[in-house]
Amino acid sequence: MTTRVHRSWQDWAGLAARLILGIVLLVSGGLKLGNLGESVNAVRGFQILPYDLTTPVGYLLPFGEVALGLLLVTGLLTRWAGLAGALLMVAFIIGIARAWAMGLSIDCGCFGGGGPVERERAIAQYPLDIARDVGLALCGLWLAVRPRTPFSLDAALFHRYTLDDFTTDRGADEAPVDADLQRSATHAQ
Amino acid sequence: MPSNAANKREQLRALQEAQDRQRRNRRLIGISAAVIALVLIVVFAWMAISSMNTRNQNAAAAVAPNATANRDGIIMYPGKAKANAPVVHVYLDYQCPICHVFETRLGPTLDEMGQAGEVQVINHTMTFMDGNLRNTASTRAAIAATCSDSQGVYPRFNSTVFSNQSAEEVPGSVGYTDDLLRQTIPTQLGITGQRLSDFQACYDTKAPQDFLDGVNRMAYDAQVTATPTIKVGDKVLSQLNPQSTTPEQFRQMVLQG
Repeated sequence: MTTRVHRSWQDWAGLAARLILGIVLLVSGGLKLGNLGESVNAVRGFQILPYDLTTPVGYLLPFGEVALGLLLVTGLLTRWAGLAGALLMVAFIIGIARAWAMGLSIDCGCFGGGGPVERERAIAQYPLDIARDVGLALCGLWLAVRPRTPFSLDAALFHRYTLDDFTTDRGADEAPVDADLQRSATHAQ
Repeated sequence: MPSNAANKREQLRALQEAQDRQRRNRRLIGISAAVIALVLIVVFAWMAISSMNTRNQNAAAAVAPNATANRDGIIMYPGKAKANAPVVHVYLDYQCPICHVFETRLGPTLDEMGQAGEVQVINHTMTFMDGNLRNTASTRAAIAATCSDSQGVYPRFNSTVFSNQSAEEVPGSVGYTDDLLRQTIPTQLGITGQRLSDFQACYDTKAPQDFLDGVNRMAYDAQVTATPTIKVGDKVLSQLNPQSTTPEQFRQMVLQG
């Protein structure tokens, strides 16, 4: 028996945040899973971690991204996944901002041969990269603050069913169903 | 009233079914999540462990006799440099196409200067391109080149490897073959008989692996993460463009430091 649930714009915003951040993480991590050597190189390009940490972090990062992406896309443990995603983005922002300030080229690889011009072009990308990561961090932050989203495993698994859900004689009052979802969803976080 | 009682019963039944379904789903999701997490952990652990196994514990006796004092590179023309000659550090990766361009266009100039003692040339061989191209060719070429130092032919081995770089580098392709590195090139350079056996033993046991790990680590510590990078002393030659800088311009850049 389906229950009519009233959805606010915040619900849809949350769903968008979940899907955007989740899909970006899934794709980013998934692509790196096929080549962990490249992931290690990417971490080394930031020149921020001690050499011995770059290998384990380079290996862990793709797995972490895929796991977070799965949680977000399915809407499970949304508050924590959102928070973790936001923190990850903040780490990237710090890395890129630092490289920008130091005039580094975040590139562990072959120069394309363009010399100084190529370095300038790489550095010109940084503000765009930072803006993108700020947007993604905000998605995560939104979810950490307001984890309730439609079409989520959280709602399906942690909703406390009561008779009210199945009473057809409702009249104009639909609030109890909402309150239930909210209570049980926040309770479950 | 009977209809209300009947309604109530139906609603209770619906409630019960929904709760049962939810319990089943929770269990299903819980188990799936645990399985996925376990799979990810196992795959991760397997990859981490298999990457550690490539470190070779064999005794690396007399590896790279012409290495620098702190073992961060190999000196190209040991003993030739005049007093107070500037030190030119060449950071390269054997699978890096622009390193090939540098070697072809400006390598001879650097070799002349090194042999004449105007500068001291130190090669720092990096191997990160293995990660980018998903093969082991950078490491194997670096091992072969380092082994050639024990046979006294390092500078020629270095440029010969580059001249064999394939025009197109395809991720996943083998790159330099073992046969090329351990047989063709050394023979071409006149390494035969016992010297060849020694060279091949060095290559086959990956004797320079620890040395190369150190070179990579120290390159990272020197904040070099891309190739080709040419430094004179501590300063990077940032205006150098391997594709367009002329040999004469390069000479000036190096001498002016």
